[in-house]
Order: sequence, then C-alpha cells, then structure tokens
Amino acid sequence: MDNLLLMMAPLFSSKLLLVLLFGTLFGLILGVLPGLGPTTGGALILPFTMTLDPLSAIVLLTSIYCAGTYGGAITAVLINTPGTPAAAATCLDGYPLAQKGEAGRALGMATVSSTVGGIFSVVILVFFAPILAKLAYEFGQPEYFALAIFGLTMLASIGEGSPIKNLIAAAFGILISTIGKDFMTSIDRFTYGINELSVGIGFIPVVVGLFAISEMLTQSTLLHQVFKRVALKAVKLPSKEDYKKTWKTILRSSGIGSFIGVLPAEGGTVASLIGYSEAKRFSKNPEEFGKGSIEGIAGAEAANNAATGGAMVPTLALGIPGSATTAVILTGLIIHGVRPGPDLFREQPDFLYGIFGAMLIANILFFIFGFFGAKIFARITLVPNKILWPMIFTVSVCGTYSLSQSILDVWIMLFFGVLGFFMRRFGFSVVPVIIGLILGELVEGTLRQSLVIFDGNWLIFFTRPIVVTFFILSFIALIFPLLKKKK
Amino acid sequence: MKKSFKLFLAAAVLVTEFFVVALPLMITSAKADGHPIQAITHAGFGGGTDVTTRMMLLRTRRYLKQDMQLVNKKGGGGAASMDYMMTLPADGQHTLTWTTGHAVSMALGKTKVKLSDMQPLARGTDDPQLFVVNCKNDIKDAKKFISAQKSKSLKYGTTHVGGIDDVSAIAFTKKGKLTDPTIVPYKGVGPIKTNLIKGDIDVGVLNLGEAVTEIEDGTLCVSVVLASNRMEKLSNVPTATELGIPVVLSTVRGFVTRKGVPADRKKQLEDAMIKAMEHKYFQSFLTDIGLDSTSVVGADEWGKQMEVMLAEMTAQLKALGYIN
Repeated sequence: MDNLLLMMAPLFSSKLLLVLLFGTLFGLILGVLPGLGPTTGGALILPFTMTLDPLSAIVLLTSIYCAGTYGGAITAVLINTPGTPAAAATCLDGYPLAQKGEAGRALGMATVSSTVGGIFSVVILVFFAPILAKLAYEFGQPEYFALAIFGLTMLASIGEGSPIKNLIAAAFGILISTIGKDFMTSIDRFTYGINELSVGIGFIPVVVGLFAISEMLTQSTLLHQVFKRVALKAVKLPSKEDYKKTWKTILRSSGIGSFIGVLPAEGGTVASLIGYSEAKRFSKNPEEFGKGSIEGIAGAEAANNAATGGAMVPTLALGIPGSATTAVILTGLIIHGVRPGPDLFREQPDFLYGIFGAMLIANILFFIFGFFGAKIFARITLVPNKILWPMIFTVSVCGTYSLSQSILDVWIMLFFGVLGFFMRRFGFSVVPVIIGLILGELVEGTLRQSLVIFDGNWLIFFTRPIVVTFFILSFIALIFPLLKKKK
Repeated sequence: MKKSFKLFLAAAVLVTEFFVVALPLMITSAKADGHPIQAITHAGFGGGTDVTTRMMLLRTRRYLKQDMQLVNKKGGGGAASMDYMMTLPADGQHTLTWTTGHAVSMALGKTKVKLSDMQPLARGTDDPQLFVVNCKNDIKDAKKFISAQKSKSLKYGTTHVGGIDDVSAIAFTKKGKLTDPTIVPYKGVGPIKTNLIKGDIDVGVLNLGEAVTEIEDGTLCVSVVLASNRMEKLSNVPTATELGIPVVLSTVRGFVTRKGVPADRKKQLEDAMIKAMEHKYFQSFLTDIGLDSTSVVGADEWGKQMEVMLAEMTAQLKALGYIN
C-alpha cells in the first residue's frame, strides 16, 4: 500500500506532472524523427537535467524513453522508416496496412499494444523491486566485481554489432575510465598535467558525442533522403474483432519484451523482433504477416514498449544498462549522485517508486497524445535534415559546455562524435564504449578493494555464492554467441 | 509549403532556440547587467560542498542585492578551482568554497596558489570525523575499539586516499600507538556503509550527516568522535582526546576571495554571508546534517583555522609518505 502511494506521488506534484508532460511530448517528437530517438534525445537533454532535482531528472529521461519508443511506430507505419531501431519490425506490417488505406487502424493498434506492453513491464518492475531490496546487504565488493564482469560479458551477445567488436569497444571504454586520479592511490593517470582531467573523462561529453554528434555526422551523408508519407485521417481504436485477434499476442509479446528487457545489454530492438516472430509463429494466419497483419503490429509494438520497463530492472537494481537508452539514464543517475544497485531499493524506495509511477503515467500520456496527435507528430518528419541537425549540434555544444563551463568538455564531445561516426561506419556499436566507461571503474575499483579487504586472497572470488553465480553466468554469456554461430 | 507546416516549423525553431538560448541562461542565472558574483566550487553536483555552497547562496545574493552564479571548476582536488580564481580580477566579484581537500591539494603542491593569495570570508560547516562501526560489533565501545586495534590491524573504509579520512585513521593510530590500520579506499560513502553492515570492513570514517539514518535506526554505531568536545547528537560517544589520543580533525567548508579585494567590499561579502548562514534556512540545513550554529564563524577565526589545517595536513601527508 505504501509503495502504491509512493508510485502515485508524481500525480500529486505539479512539477513532476509538468516534467512528465514535457518528457512525453519531447519523447514522441524524438521517436518520430528518424535518426533521433530516445537515446540521442536523452543524451541531448542530459546536461540540462542538472538544473532539476534527481527525481525530476530521471522522470524526464524515463518519460522520454517510454514515449520515444512508442513514437518510432508512427513513422514506421506512415513512411516505412522506423523512428527508432526498436520500431523496425513495426514497418513490416504497419506500412503495408497503411498503404491499404488503414493507417489509422495500424496506428491505433500500435498505440494500444504499446501502452499495454509498457504498463505490463512497469508491473513487472514493481514486482521485482522488493525482491531486489532484500539482496542489498548481500552485495559486498567481490559481488559488485563479479556483477560488473557479467555486465561486460553480456556485451558479447548484444544485438547490434559482432561480439568481438563489442568487446573491443567495451575494452576501449574501460581504458578511458582509467583516466584521472586513481582513488586507491591518489595518483593521476593519463592526465598529462591537465588538472581538469584529474576527475576523469565526464560521462556527458562522451554520451553526447557518441550518440548525438556521431548521428549528426551520419545524417549529413543522407541529406538527399526524401520520405514518402501515407495519408492519415485519424487514429482509430482497434475494433472488437481486432482485440479478439490480438489480445493473446499482446500479452505474449508483453511477457517476451519484459523478459528480454531485463537481460542486461539487450533491449527494445531485439524484443520487438522476437515478439514479432513469436506472433507469427502462434498466429492462425501467418501468411498475412508482411502484408499488413494487425497481429504483426501488436506483436512488435507490445514487445518493444514492454522492454522499457524490463530494461530499467538491471539499470536500477544492478547498475548495468538494459539498453542504449538506459545507458543514458544510468549516466543521469550517476551524475545526479544516485548510485544504482541493490542499495538503492533499500535506501531510496520513494525515489524508485516515483520513477515507476512516472513510467506508468508516461505510458498513459503517450496513449492520449498518440491517439489524438499522431497526425500532427507525423508532420515533424517534414523538417529538413539541413535545419534539424545544425540545431541539434548547437544544443549539444551548449549543453556540454554549460555543465562545468569547460571548453575541454566540448573538445571531448567533438572527439567522441567523430570517433562514434567512424565506429558506426566500421560496424562497431557505440553502446559498449559507454558501458565499458561506466563498468570499467567498477571492475577495477571493486577488484582492488576486494583484494585489500581480504588480504590479497583470490580464493574469496570462488567462495561467495553470488560471486560464483555471476561468474557462471558470465561464462555462459561468453560462449553463447559461439554456440549460436556453430548451430 | 502549406501554412500549417510553416507555423509548425516556426514553433519547432522557437522550441529549439529555447534550449539553445533560454535554458543555458536560466542555468547560469546571469543578470541582465552582466555582473553576477561567481561562486566557484570544485565539487560535483549534490555533494556536501555543492550543497553547502548552494545553501549559502540562497540568502547571500538577497543581502548583497546582486545575483550569484555557481561556477563549477573540477579537477586537481580543488587545485583547478583555485587556479581559476587567480585568473579573475581582485574586484570582489567572486568567492571560492575552500575545503579540507584544498588544503590537501596545496600540501601536495598541485597548485602554486598560496594561502597568502586569498582572503578568508566565513566558515560554513565544521563537520567532525567519526569512526563508525557495525552495532553488532563489540568495538562499538570505544575502549574495546582501542584494545582491539592494539592487538590487530583494523580495516578502515575511507573516501579516497590522501585526504582527511585516511589522515584521520593514521593520525589516530600513530598517536594512540596502535597497530597500523588497513585502509580500504572507496569512491563514496554508500559502499562503506554496506560493507560495514555486511561485516567486510571494521570501521567507516564518516561524518554524521553521511550515516545519520543508519545511526538512528541502530544499524551503525559511532565509536569515537575526532572533535574537541562531544557532539550534541552523540552525547554518549567519547572524543579521541577523552580517550587519551589527542586527534581533532573535521571536514571543513568555508569561503574565501582573492587577496587584493578592497577591504570594504570584502567586509560586505563577509557580512552578507554570515547573515545568510545565520538565517533559519542554513541553520536547519546544519541541523539536518547533525551540526549546529557553531559551524558558522567569521573571517578571523576561519583564517586561523585555514592556516592550522594546511599545517596539519602537510605534517600528516609527510608522515604518510605522500610528500617529502
């Protein structure tokens, strides 16, 4: 009951409601714009969240995440271009259905299934919270070390990029995390006498550079792209027949999405593809898939939005991001002085349930905005890249500079922007760099702390049950892609 | 191009410009006349130094009838913030939050700035160092704590090394002729508390505000206080001096400005700060973190303490082998 009241807190705070409204609208706009999406948008707005209190900041980022994930479906249906990678599977049936003159029906189903999937996953999140809270005191430094190793090995099986490339990118992230004053010895590392570097490379310049600037450079190569839009009169709520046809698919995909979201380093893109293929497998009319199947839309959309809540579980409970956007949210938590982990569930339940409540409300809000405003949001795709991306560049520079009034941060952002552009060009995902940067510090620090605490006894890593469990999971995560390849 | 689309485009430009122009302006809160006072800090957002500075700013800007802008210059354990201050003219349009960390940086030679380059204004907080233990552990009793460390090395959890925390542990050990401690550095206080509760370390070197929840719910206990007098909230906990080990160390945060600022302007800044920190807002902040009104002192007392702190930190860092 107490937790329910804590969840409802955002409803009673005009400030949080305003943040939620803004976040949902902003997320929808970002989701609609191909190339932007909640990850880039979250990275862009991250510096500006510093003016907010931690709860408002994270509520803003999570509402952008929820609404942005749904927003991708609008362009997927109307212009056959997924606004976000997670909406790629929605194109397969959404656009064909729109071409048949049923764009309103397709968007209606996408809106309803996204909302159901999103709400379902928040319920899962609430269910997991008390269990994780009990684990808080079981996590000492050896457990955190094993957990960080597990998070890094999960990169081998992440959806985007090859396992080897992901691990190389993560290793690079870890290398960057060693820049700055070593907190164990107080010695500066790789700072070359620059005092500003002694606090390490800031997360925000790296995140903004890797996501926003590299995407801008990528988009600059696509200036010739012209989108053809299917006409939309109004979004229609699904008919009784459509509900009858899809309710099992929606529930199944919600479960699949929540589960895949929980897996560290997976996310909405993988969830929607699996949700879609499972919908096809269980369908009575699999031949309709790819030609405008309403079940196909429901399967993909329920799954990708369910992954949002699921992905927040490892992010909040373990400090391991469940997706690219949650990597940005994790950065937000860290810069606001919130240390994710089991302790968070014990120490700040009001903060956590506030986030859960906000996610629930964001799902309802994007349903309303999506239902009544899809037609307007669809027009956003007409903003030419030549206007949109220079604006984003200006916001990136201002945002990064304003944090510490440091021009060095701007240079770091630009460096990582160019680096991210080339990484993408050569088939590397930029997400592992962020995860490496975040977890690198944890891996190094907890290993050394554990050895100091236990007098250099390495056997400690093989005598604590949680540590051993994570090591076994890490081993499975490493060999899983190899086994999959052999098959 | 349709009219509705043109309108939409105009709105989009306006919204973006809001982020580009208005929001950064809101962040810096710069006054239209372009003369806000820069309140320089070296600390991350939400930390003790950041919060103390923001609490001071709340009323000071009102008493000075001039806006104050928080300027964050991280790096070098405060060295970057001191270096930055020295680039500003001595016109009284800036303040710097000076802490124990700055004394460490100066002692380590990370900056060329000397105490004589600054003028003290006022002290905001004087937060004694505490030795916190698990309440289930026998060493919650100060005498048992000392006898335990006479026979074996205790594991002390500190925030970073080469700072006030490990200096506290080492100074207590040396002056008490106890077994050398094992220092386990952490990046923040959260894991120190968890590891204390789990029993992986013996002692956490903390300030009261950092562990007040666990102390109040009886999970963690304070064994020794490194203050000259017992703390009001911990009246049953002895000071190190009472136990025959004369160590008095605290995390201190105060404010300074550049040398050369005209005396009348310096007095104006000092008076406004003292008045602001005597206001109920700042006072209730002090109560929340377990301190009282004695934390706030004027330039004279604060200046003397800065000199003592720098001398003490230099001596301790020499003893620890960080400097020759």
